[in-house]
Amino acid sequence: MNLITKDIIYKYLAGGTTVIQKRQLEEWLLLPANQETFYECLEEWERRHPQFTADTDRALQDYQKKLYAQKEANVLARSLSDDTGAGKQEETYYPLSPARRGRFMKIAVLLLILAGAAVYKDQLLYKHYTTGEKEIRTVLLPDNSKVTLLENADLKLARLFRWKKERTVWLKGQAIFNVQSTRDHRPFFVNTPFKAQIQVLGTEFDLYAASDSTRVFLNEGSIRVNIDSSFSRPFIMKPGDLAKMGKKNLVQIKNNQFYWQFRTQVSHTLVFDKTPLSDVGLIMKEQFGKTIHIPDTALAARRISGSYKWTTEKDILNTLALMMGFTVTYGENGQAVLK
Amino acid sequence: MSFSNHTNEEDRFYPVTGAHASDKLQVDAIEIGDREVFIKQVFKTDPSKGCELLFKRYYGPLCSHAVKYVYSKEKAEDMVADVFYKFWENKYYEQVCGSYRSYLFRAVRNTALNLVKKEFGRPEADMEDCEEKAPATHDTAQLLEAEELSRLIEKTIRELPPKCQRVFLMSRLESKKNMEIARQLKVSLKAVEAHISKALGILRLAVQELNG
Repeated sequence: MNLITKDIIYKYLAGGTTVIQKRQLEEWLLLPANQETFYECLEEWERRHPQFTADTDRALQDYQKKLYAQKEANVLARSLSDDTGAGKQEETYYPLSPARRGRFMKIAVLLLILAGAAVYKDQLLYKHYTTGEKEIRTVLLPDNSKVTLLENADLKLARLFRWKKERTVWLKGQAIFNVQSTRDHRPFFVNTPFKAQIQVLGTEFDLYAASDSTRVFLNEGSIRVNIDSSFSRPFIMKPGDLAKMGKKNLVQIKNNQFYWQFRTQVSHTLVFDKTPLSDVGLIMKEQFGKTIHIPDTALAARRISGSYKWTTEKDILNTLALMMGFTVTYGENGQAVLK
Repeated sequence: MSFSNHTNEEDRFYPVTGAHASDKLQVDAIEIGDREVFIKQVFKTDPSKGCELLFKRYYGPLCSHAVKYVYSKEKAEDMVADVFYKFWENKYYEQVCGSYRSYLFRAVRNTALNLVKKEFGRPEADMEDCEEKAPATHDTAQLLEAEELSRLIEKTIRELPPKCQRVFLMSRLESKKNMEIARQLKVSLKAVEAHISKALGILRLAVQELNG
């Protein structure tokens, strides 16, 4: 009975089958499994013969708004209502969306123009606080917020800081912020050179802002991280959270990093998004203190995507090994070798 | 738990095509019979992420499919987006048996059929709303009928007088305003409107004839 091949289905979709074939197809389609095959062909067909180019990115943005509206509202509500924080774990992982080039270009062009203007106006409009080699300096801002600059840091703020509606500063390097709220609730923003802006909702955090990566650890209160939209959605951090933004398109929020080892019942999730295996190794090192060695460069360069709830690092490695077809051996010093 | 291998962005969720040759056998074994295995896993832990992945993967092909029925870019896009909204809001993803792919194509087709009925069918024609339910598995007859319908629509539009066809396509598929079309083709606004309503009239006749 089964004379139906994928070829015939494609032919049918193109309108080129005989009546007899059509009748056979009808019979064949009665089996649910065959219907699956049919839809596979249909998908393939529509992919190969698109009628028009649908703007998936734009539509996806709308859809994401819907999908995440609830979630973000919950996170915000929780972080505002629950300031004790330390007792609870939050699962807030935002994998990154692919770059939307057009928008990014617009932003880039705009930034370029602004940067051009800034070259001339910088000295006039802004005040810089800098630290050198092995120098630590605490700066008291006009609003009584304290910023402790670690070595080789540069903090910039408007000379008119005191009178601005929004308190905005720019940081290069590492600093510890202790932000005071003002009577008129002026928002406080920290801009970093690499993709992220920190909106301070609460008080104390540690920020490392290099030219190619940004790292935030929140100690107290609550902050919102506004990331370059081509990179990820904004997210809110709670005390104990650590977020990193590096070149490899990776944002992680590890909840209560300092405390995680004392808690046994919390579930942890690792999210990988186009992450090379070599980076997975680095993450594992940070998270578990275990060194992972991958001698084969081709293997190290292979990328994975997915989310995984883990209990131990062996767990992760074993599953990865199964998926990607490598073997794990453990060396004398506990070092894991992937082949 | 879920992971997939890939070497570049395009084949993120098509591990077979992106994997190294040496991996092929092993990855194939996982993939055959259920190419959505990764997405299925994601749905278990994070349905919104799962919806997002489905959207990224199927939005384009679904729009392309939908437009064959409704012959309007906007309507096709809105319709597909709407199917995805309902999929999320009413948690249809929990009821899907079989693949998400076939579910989504069916849902889009049903929605499209309803729209065609509404737009081109007889006003008194019964309009059962099949989009609200998860579609049945054995709907072979409907599947083929729908294909016939899209073919009829295609044929009807192909046989429209050239100018009429051009105006109709500019309006419905290139999202041009009537004014714009008039300016571009150097005809009056009235003529553009007449062409469009003529095309719609012919389509209506053809669809009603098919439905008896």
